[in-house]
Amino acid sequence: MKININRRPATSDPRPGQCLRTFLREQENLGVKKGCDGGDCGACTVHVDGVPVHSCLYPAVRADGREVTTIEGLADDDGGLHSVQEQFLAAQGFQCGFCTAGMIMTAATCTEEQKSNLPRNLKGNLCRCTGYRAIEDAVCGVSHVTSGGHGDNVGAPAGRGVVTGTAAYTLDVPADELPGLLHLKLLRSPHAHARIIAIDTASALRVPGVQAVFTHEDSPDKYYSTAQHELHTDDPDDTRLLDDVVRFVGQRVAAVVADSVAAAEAGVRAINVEYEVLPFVLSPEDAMAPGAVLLHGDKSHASGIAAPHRNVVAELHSSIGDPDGGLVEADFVYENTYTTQRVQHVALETHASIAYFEEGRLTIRSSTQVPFLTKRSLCRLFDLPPNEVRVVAGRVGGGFGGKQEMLTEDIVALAALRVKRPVQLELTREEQFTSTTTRHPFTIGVKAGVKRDGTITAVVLTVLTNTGAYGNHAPGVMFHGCNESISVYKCTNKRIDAHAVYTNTVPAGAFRGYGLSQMIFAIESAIDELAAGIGMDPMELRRRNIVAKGDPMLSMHSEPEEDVLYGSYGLDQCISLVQDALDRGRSRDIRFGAHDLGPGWRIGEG
Amino acid sequence: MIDTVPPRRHHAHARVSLLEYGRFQVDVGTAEFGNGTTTVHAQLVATALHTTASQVVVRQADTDLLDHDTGAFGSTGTVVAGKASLEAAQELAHILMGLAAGITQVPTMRCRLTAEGVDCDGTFLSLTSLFSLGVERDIRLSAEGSWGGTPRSVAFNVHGFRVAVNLGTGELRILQSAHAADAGLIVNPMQCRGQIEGGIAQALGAALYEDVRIDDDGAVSTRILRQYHIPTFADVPRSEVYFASTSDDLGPLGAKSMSESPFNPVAPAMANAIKAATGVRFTSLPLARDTIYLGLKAAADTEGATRKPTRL
Ligand code: FES
Ligand code: FES
Repeated sequence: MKININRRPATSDPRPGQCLRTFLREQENLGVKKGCDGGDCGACTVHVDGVPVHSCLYPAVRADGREVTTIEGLADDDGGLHSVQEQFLAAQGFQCGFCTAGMIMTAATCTEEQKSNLPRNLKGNLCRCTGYRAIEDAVCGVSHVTSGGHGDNVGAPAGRGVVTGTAAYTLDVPADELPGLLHLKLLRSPHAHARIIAIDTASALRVPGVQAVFTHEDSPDKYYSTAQHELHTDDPDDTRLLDDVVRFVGQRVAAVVADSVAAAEAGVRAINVEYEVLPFVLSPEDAMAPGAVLLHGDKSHASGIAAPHRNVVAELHSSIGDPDGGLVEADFVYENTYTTQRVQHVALETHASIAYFEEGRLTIRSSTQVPFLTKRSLCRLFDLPPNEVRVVAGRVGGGFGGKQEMLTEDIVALAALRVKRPVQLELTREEQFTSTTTRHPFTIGVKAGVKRDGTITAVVLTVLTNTGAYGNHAPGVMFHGCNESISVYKCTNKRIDAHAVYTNTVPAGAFRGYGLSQMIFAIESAIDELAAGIGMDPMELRRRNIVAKGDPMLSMHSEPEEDVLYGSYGLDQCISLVQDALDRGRSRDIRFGAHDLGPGWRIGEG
Repeated sequence: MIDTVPPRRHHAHARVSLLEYGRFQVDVGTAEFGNGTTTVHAQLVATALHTTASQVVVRQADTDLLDHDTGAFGSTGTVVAGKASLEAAQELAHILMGLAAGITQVPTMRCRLTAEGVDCDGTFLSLTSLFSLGVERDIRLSAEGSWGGTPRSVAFNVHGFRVAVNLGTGELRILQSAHAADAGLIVNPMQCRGQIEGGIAQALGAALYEDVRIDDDGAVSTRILRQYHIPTFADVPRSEVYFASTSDDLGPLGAKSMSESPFNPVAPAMANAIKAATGVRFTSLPLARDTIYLGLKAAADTEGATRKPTRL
């Protein structure tokens, strides 16, 4: 077989059935990324005979007799950059940069005509970080980067590495640096709630290439939280590395370590598990109902769970001022219930880590936002002194809070400590959806009153958050969500009753906004309704009720938090900036006749 | 509104050192995952040391580099970690001036740190020679900084949309998207704008269609990106981004955090715009086209009963 990669012949043939993406990575073209392995994201885009393809779908054998170009070979061999690489640097058309290689490969083949229709021609390349404006500027040759210091548009130091595909993300470690690397795959629970009666690993261990299988019997008998915070007591200790009770579909049941990913997968399929299926509960309302099945009923208060016998991981009951009086005093009272859904982070780089030994010391290279906290958690879990563990992160391909958790490091550490060889775990996109974390779904009851003069007189909230099977970040998200969302309003009559509740579903965790986006959706919708109720412009109502610099910011306590200060205050400016922008936009639309879209269309601002 | 740092402490450590060829190295604990803090560290350190960011090398996210760092979450990359590296750089500037002043016997007051070295009232000592002098005299030309994440400030974001809704089909068009942020004195406007635009795009996905569905048996049924649509190039309108002009007393060189908070006002602004256009209040996210269609239909069926909140 003769496959040319970046103008040089490949050093080996692909395995039967291998896709071009993994083949190229094995050929040390680590700039070729994986975001999905399903042809959806474009992170793996390369050229075959000059045509962009998703290399995760392209059978490697089909490249026989062809010229494959990856990001590493896009520029000429003289060490310079391709013009599109230059443009991505000049516009800083990236943030984490995990999508960038694929974007550049696609963009490099765009004709001028195609460039004028990027929504269509870049539809096969997803970016989770930029919102695409910076990418559009890059493709179209707009430049932003300057040199300098504070206040200037200094380009990212890693920019060149990002646009040439040489910036090393978590798994971009050349094979010769990790001799004897093993791959780990997880068997996951098919049941929402079940007790494991028996696990038969014998046939898995007979699969060629399988080195070891780990089950709950190998797991340290310790509870911890996957959530990582400065104080580990912020989160309940409700999770075991491998547990004999599974509490959601997708929870880890066993781990197989093998010479190759394929062998580890075959090992996973060969494991036999006998389950005692238990009743399960999917909604927080049902979980709180008397008699509901308990997820963590076996745990005590010492675990940090507020009420294990009611499935409540955290609760908050606060009242300041006189909320009932405030409602009575109001000229208009609005009441409604708002709900928000589960959302996934979809960082383009999936969770992944490699455990290996450096002079005998356990080292974990991980896609994490919190290397130091993860090190501490690993030390606690495996009873290791701090000088025997090192955690490093390469460049991380997006986080958004999803990587403020320990979701892979614990299991690769266990495996490496036992087999004394380097072990790698890379989650698939599907595992990201079924088995990592999501945003907490909230149900928010709002009752609020306003006087005709525009004074908000009371805010009463009933909040129910669904933390899924484990309580990682549940207390933090609930408290944080209920804080700044209402402390921004001066009204001093506020009551909150909030519960964070376990259900047999994929756990929720930290996600950009940390509970605030959910609460703000409800509160700010209600503010508009209050305004409508008294016939006032909603922005005017906000202006009259937001805190001004120096006002106490109050939510659950009648005294403001001591260490939250107005280092500066620009909320009034922000409101004016947006209002002015909308005013300008409206008159622009009217001037160009764009305000009339035809019958059936209605325009609104908010 | 968002507090610029999570409660209950958030620690950052940083070390800034002079390197052999007159460049500086800053060791920080925080990881780079697209938040742009690497650049911010380089810029803050460069400012304190009167040089340019290109002269600053950042090493990061390795537990061997420093004692401890809480990590990059809660929008702390700039405000907490940046404060630590700024402090370390300021301390190093102080050490360099002291060394130069000692050698030239010129009072520190009359010494000036520049991008090339220290000008001691006319006598110039380059950074390279200061490095050698440091080695000779066994003086560590390196300084540490740390910050415990308190006191904290507050940052603000406001989002506005003008939308058009087709009453017959539930189709939604975003005619204008405008966002204003109060991030204090901005260290890197291009990056800060990138954070905001990215936050808006992610929030639009969550406001309009992203939904991890769970089936009756408790399993996630949206298991691939084809079932869980995230915003593509075609889905994201260009947003106008504005900055309030403020300078924060607590953040490093006046800066505040800006990475989580742009997400937060997007969904309510959208719901409020849809209400303004249609008269119907949607209370559940996501505001998908079928949801809007069904909501409008239900409202029409009940002849506006749901449209009018009870008025006193
Ligand atoms: S399209 Fe190939 S990895 Fe996503
Ligand atoms: S920069 Fe595009 S996914 Fe991170």
